[in-house]
Formats: sequence, C-alpha cells, structure tokens
Amino acid sequence: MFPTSERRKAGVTLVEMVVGAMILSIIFGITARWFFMQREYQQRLTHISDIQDNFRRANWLMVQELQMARTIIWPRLNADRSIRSDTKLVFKDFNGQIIAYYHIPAEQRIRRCVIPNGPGNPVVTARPVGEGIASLSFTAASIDNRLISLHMSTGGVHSLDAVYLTNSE
Amino acid sequence: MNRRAVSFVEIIIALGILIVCMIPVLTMFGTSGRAVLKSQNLGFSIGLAHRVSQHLLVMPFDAITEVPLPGSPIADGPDDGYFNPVANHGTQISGALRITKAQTPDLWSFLRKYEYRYSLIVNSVNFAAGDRMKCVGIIITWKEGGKDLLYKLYTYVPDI
Amino acid sequence: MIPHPLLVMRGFCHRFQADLLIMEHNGIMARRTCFQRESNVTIGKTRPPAPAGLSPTQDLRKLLATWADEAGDPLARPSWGDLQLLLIPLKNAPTVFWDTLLPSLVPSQALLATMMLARSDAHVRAIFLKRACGSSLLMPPSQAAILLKLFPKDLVLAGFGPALLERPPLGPLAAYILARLGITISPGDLPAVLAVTSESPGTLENLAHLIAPEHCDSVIEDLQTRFDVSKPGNRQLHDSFITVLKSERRSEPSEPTWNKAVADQLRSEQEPGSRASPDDQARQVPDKTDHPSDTVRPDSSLAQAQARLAGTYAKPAGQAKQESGLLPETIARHFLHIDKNIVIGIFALAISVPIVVYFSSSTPPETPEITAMPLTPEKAPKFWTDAVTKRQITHEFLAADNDFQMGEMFFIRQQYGEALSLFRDALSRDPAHVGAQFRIGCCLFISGDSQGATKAFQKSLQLQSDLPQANLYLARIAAAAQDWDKALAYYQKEFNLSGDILVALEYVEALRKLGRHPEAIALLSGLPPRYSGQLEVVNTLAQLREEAKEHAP
Repeated sequence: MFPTSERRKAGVTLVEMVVGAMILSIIFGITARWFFMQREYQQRLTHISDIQDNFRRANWLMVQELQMARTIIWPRLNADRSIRSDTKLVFKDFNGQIIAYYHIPAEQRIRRCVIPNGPGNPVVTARPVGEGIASLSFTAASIDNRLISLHMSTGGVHSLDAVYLTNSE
Repeated sequence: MNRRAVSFVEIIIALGILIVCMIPVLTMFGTSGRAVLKSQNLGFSIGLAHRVSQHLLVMPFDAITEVPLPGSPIADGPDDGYFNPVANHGTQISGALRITKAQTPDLWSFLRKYEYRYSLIVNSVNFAAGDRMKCVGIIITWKEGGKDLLYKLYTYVPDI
Repeated sequence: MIPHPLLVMRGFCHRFQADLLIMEHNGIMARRTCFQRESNVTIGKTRPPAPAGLSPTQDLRKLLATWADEAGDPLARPSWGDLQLLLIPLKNAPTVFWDTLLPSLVPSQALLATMMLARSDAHVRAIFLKRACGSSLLMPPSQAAILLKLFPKDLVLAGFGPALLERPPLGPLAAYILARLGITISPGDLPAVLAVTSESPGTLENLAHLIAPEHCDSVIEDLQTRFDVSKPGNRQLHDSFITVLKSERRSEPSEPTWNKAVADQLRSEQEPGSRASPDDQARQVPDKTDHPSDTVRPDSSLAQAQARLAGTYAKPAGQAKQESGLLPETIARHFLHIDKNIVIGIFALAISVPIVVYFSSSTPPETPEITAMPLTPEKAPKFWTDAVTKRQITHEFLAADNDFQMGEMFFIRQQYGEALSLFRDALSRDPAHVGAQFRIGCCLFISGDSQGATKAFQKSLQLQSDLPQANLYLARIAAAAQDWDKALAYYQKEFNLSGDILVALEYVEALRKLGRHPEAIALLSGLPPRYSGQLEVVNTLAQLREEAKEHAP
C-alpha cells in the first residue's frame, strides 16, 4: 500500500521469513538425518559393546572351569572322527563332579548345572554363566576329548575360542 | 532508528556459528564409534589366537607346520584343523559346516568383512633326544579402517 | 467567489458518502492526533494537533494545502504523515468523489495529490496519472515541470509518455515536461508520437530533446521505414523533425504557451455536472484515450504506442512472455490474483517440506556384494600395525621377534649361550628390540660379564625407561661391585616403578647389610596392606627392629 521508501521500521518481511524458514528446514533436515543416523550408529555400537562384555564374561567363567577340568563327556567326536557340535557341554571338573553347560535360546542364556552321580535331579546354578547370547555351540575337536571349541554369536558379533583341558583324568 | 527485529542475515550467521560449534560434538561421535569397533576386533582376534594355541596342543607335533605371511584366510579357508570345519551338528562328516557364505553366512560375512587371516611362524628346537619343542608364533591379521592390523601370540608346544 | 464544490455535486447522497469516507479515516487521524498530544512526538518532529471543528473534506483540503506549501521531498514533508492516513485510503473512493474534489483544489495541490496516489499503488496508477495530466494543464507548464521533478522519472514517464500522443495542449505539454526533466523515450516510439504531433517549432524541438543523442541515427532510420510520409502534412513534418534532430539543440526546452482563461475553461469542464469527467471522456473515445492498463486491442497501433510509452506494453500473442518477477508471482497475478508474498511462501514450503522429509528418513546404505575371500590377497601388505602397541610391524621385525622368542625358549632351559646368540641375532635385525636387549643383559649377567651386562641394561633403559627388572639387575651388579650408592639408587628406582614385594625385600636386605635399619624399617612399613601382612614381611620387620635395638647407641 505504501511505497517501500516510506517504511520506517526495520523488520522481517514475510518473504524473508519464509525463505529463511525454508533454508532452516533444509539445514535442519540434513542435520536431523545425520543426527538420527549417528544416534542409531551409537546405539548399535553400544549394543555391540554390551554383547562383547557378555561374551567376555561367559568366556572367562567357562574357560576358567574348563581349563582345570579332567575330561569332556559330551560332545565327542563322531564315529568317523569328524568333529561334533552341540549346544550342551558335559564335562568332569577337577573335583570329579559332572558339570553341564547348556544354552537356552529363548532366554539367550548359558546356564550351568551339576549332574549328580547318583539319583537326583540336576542342580542348576542360580546365576547364569552367560546372558545375552543368541547362539552357542561347543565343538569336540580332539580324539582324546581334551579340547573343546566355543562359538558364541549375538546380533552379528561373534566369539571363537577353544579350551584345552590341562588336567588328566 | 531503533531496530528490534532480527534480520535475515543475522539468522543465517547465527546458523553458521551453530553448525561450526556442533562440529566438535559430531566428531566425538565418530571417535567413540571407532574405539568400540577396534575393541571388538581386537578381542575377537585374541580369541582366535587363543583358539589356535589350544588346537596346537592337541595337534600332532609334526603336523604343526608353518603358515607363512600374508596368511591363510579363515573365511573360505581350507580345512586346517584350526578353523575349518567349524561345527558339525550331525553324526557324520557330511554334516560338517565350514566358514563359507552358504553354510555359516553370519560368521562368514564378519570374517570376510575384515579379511581375517592367520599365519604360523614355527621354529622347532631339539634340546635333547626326545625333548623337542616348537616355538609357534600365531599371527592374526585383519583389515580395519584401511589399515592392516596384527595381533601376535607366541606359544611353546612340547613334543610329549 | 467560487461556490463550494460540494454544493454543485449531483445529488446530496454523493456528498454524504464522501463525507462518511473522510470521517471514517479522520477517526484514524484523530486517534493519531491524540497520541501525538500525549507523547508530543510524531515521526521525529513535534506538531500541533489538527484543529477541531472542520468537516472531513475541509480537513483534507487543509492538509493538502499545508502539505503542498511545504518544501522538499513530498514523502519527507512534515504533513505527509497525517495526510497519507487520510489521502491514501481514498484512492479507491468513487470516481465522482475525485471528480468533485480535484477541481476544487488548487491545481498544484491536485497535481501533487494525484501523483502521490499514483505512486502509492500500481493498481490505481493509471487513473491518477491521467488525473495528474489533467491537473497539469491547469497550471503554467514550468510550474508543472517543477512539481513533477519531485517524483521518480519512471512515474512521470508512465503518466506523460502516453500523453505525448494526445492532441494539443496535452501533447506539447507532455513533450515539454519530459524534455525539461531530461526523460528520453525509446526511438521506436517516435514515429507514432510524430504522427500525432502538430508542426510547431517548439514542439518538434521538445520531441528532439526526448531522443538520446546516441539514438539519433536509429530514429532517422525508423522514421524512414515506419513513418508514413504519404499522408498529407507528414512529409513536411518528417523533414522538419529530421532537420531539428540533426541541428544543434537549444539547451532548454521551449515552454508551450499557456492561457489562463483556457485553463479555467478546462477546469470548469472537469467539474462534474458540466461535462463528462476525464474518465468518461476516456471511455467515450476509446481509440485515443484508453487507459494503458486496459486490455490493449492487438490491432491498435496507437494503443500499443501508448502502452510502450507508459512502459506497460504487452507483447503480442504468440511471443513468450518474459515477466520480470518470479514465476509464482506471474501465476498469482494473472490467474489467482493472490498476494505475491503468499505465493512465494507457499512455493518455498512446497520445496522445503519434501526435502526435509527426504533427509529425515533413514535409508540404509546399499551394501556391495562380497565375494569369496581369496587364498592369497591381491596385494600383500608391506607392514602391519600392532593392534596392542600400535607399533609398525614389518617382516624384519617379525623375524627379529621370532629369534627373540627362540632365545626365550633357550633362556628358560638355561642354555644361555644359545639364547645369547639368538638375542643378538634378534637385535641385529631390529636394534630397537627392547626384549632382546634386556635378555642380552640377563645372559651376560648370568655368565658373569658385569660390564657387558651393565651396558646392555642401560641400553635397554634408554629404549624403554620403565622397563621392568632392568634397574633391579643394575642394582645387583652394583651391589656385587660394592658400589652401594648406585645399588640403592637402582633399587629405589625399581621399587618406585614396580612396587613389587620381592624387590622391596631385596632392597631391604641391601640396607640391612649397610646397617641402615631405620630406612629398611620405613620401607617395609610403607608397603601396601596387601603386602604388609605377609609372613616374610612381618618376620623381616621384626628382625630389623631387633637389630635396630641392638645397634642403637
């Protein structure tokens, strides 16, 4: 209505606001996308770190006990001397007790139980050996039942290890 | 003339300063991410080396032979007694699973992604008759962030 | 005395309506006046409030008069602030209102008012420019030129450009005003202007002033091709104009004659009730005085010339329209009649929203297909980076390390000769191998070569200052050589580095030999709790205390 030269106040016109909003929205869109991607990446990394912790804990507990064990009862090599894998591991520990490690896929847990020599039910250890482990396999790899390989995996993270039983039966 | 409104140029300048200030924060995300990844690979590599060292203890003494650098691949590798075959849920050799794309895709893709290899440096020593020992250097190599990384573990295998 | 113009308006209702309009907007002025009374501040200046007791039309006229008498840029005059509140809203007032008001004003006031209104709004520009042309006829041309100098040249050209094509007295007046203001026209418009110009020396000279000197040749060429000299009088007109154009020009344009009586007559003709208003006259003679903003008949060359002179020439159909504004503005103006800002805003939003949505959605990166791992890599690396120590590992280093490990095997088996040679081999491959250097020192120490061992241990400390046990061996060598000061210093260094209880006990033993029981007691007493309770520590401490009592004076 009035010529622009008559305007006395400094301010922001509608066009400037909208153009600024457009530029802002583009920048925020790019930043938001990058932010969400980074957040997702960080969440994935944190998840991986948690999985690694679970693997280390479970590995340490099992290896500690297995190293001092005397023999592996199950799994054992196949008749044709090929390796054999299972989600359960039964062994005789240093004290002669029969111990079993077994994996529960639904709970993603590794549990330990003591199998009595005589009548009676297995006694499950209260605290699980490992948690957050999606898959576990014990592989018998030696004819003398003194080597057991472990393979754990969760969400694309893996752990490959082996334990040699130092004590004889 | 009193100006109380914010001009367009001021908004753009403020945005630019904000973006510049966010850059150090953004780089921090990348740094922490790389740290976790490196930890994952190193821990995995230590496990692999330990696995080899344990397998060496049950392997026939004369069967411990050198695997020269750059090393043998773990994924799609030959049957070596250390890694392949990796599992067998059946009762016969035909059920043996190797670390291949078809049989163990998840493990294969992880090992293939970082191009894991292993090599053995074997030195045999005769101390006396019937007293032999092999000094085995287990070297795990992989690629990460464009770098060739290495983890070595030395073990002594007696002939008993 | 001129009768009040309102009294001669046709019908009382027109006057009432006009007064209503002014009263409504005068309310705004009154509120502003009250504010000014309270704050005594207007746009940078202090003004007395408007006198009360006047009719709205009289208020307007009074303000116009005050404003017209003030000097300077019309927009910067003190009265403009109040006047615009009253005047600008009236731009859309009925035609009759302006037909009544303008003739009642002094011509200079009318000219200023109409030019300001034309300047304020492009929609009413054409109408008020036409009124301005009419008002300019009512005053001496020089006075009109002085007044029009206050306005932008493009605005003056938009009003008086088409007036060039009018018959006298408007045509020559327009030529004079444009020439006086130094405004030029496009050479291509001159043939149309010349066609309606009467041959008079002053007019032709003024037209010549409208042509920029660099365009003279193109004007002459245009006249030869587009000016119809076959019509009676045109040949002479053509030749006269060419002569004027080529000759030297007078510095000042020539002012056309102005007759006050004729002006008064024109003024009375402009009053409503006497004759048709200029708008009505314009509507009656559409082929000569059509508004330039009206739809141009494509066949009317005169209308085209008027439009070109006004700067509103619309290109003929078939040619691409190149508008100066944004495309959305064009669409809005021609089709939707929506405000330009709103259209641009909608356009900006329409672009930004999909972009934001796209960038906000996370798309998983495409992973390339991984092929089977080759048995041997395509390019064997020249070196590796140790993941633990970050050291660069080459084949040479690995060979050296291998020798070192072999030497360790012999060292454990206490075959120090073979171990020493292997360690030396390792050191020769890798002079920075700390382990090999240290083990050379150990082998030499065990074999009795204290000097060689000392050098080896010192070299190993140079490679790694916090190497465990290097200081301990040096302390033992110094103790064996009875150099107790050195021995104690090395013991202290080793104990500081490791805090090991075995080192502490050896250190204490050395102090005991020297009879420095208090220091020994202090050392053992300062051990961490996990060591201080150990049997050996307790026993040694007890013995030291007893010996200290015995040796005490």
